[in-house]
Amino acid sequence: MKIEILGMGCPKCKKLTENAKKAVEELGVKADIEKVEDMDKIVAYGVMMTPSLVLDGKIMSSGKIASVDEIKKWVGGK
Amino acid sequence: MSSGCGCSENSSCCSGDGTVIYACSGQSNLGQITNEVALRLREASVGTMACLVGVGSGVEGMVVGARDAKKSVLIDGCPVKCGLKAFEKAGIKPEVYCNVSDLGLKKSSTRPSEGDINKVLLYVKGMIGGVK
Repeated sequence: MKIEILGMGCPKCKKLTENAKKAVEELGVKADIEKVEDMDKIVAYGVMMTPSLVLDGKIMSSGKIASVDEIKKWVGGK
Repeated sequence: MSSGCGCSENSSCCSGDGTVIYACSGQSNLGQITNEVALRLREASVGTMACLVGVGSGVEGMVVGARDAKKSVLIDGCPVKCGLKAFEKAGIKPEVYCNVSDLGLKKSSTRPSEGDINKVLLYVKGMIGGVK
């Protein structure tokens, strides 16, 4: 499983990354969490707002800090 | 939006305060007013702008962005309501909906006047202010 956090590195992006890490830890699943800060890569996803969370290539949230519970729901549903 | 910008979690960096403005941007004077009003609202830091056509055409990132917006503001120009239809197609209801034609402005293929732009700007600002 791959989780990508799209964002330029501001506190909101960092918080979303923390939430993703916590969600994965709490579920006890294996996942690669990658921060994508390259603007070209972010634009290629078609998102206009950051931070965004991408789970196995699917955009799950955009322009908000998804909560640990939300992320757990998405990851758990895989 | 640069790395290490020093902004706080609640600042307007990145996603802003969650207010996202969509304009129909149609060809008529009314459509062009929506675009100009959206630009001026962005310049006044009322919210960020996003592409309505991206929502209407189903670009995943833009649909999710519209769905996740804390407060989406949709401005249509005329009674055809293309913007609202695009949102409905994506299963999204805007928090604030404004239709320029409600102000009694006549649709034509001319450049919008500064007076009409300001009139609509005030109207939309009032609508946004009324929705917390």
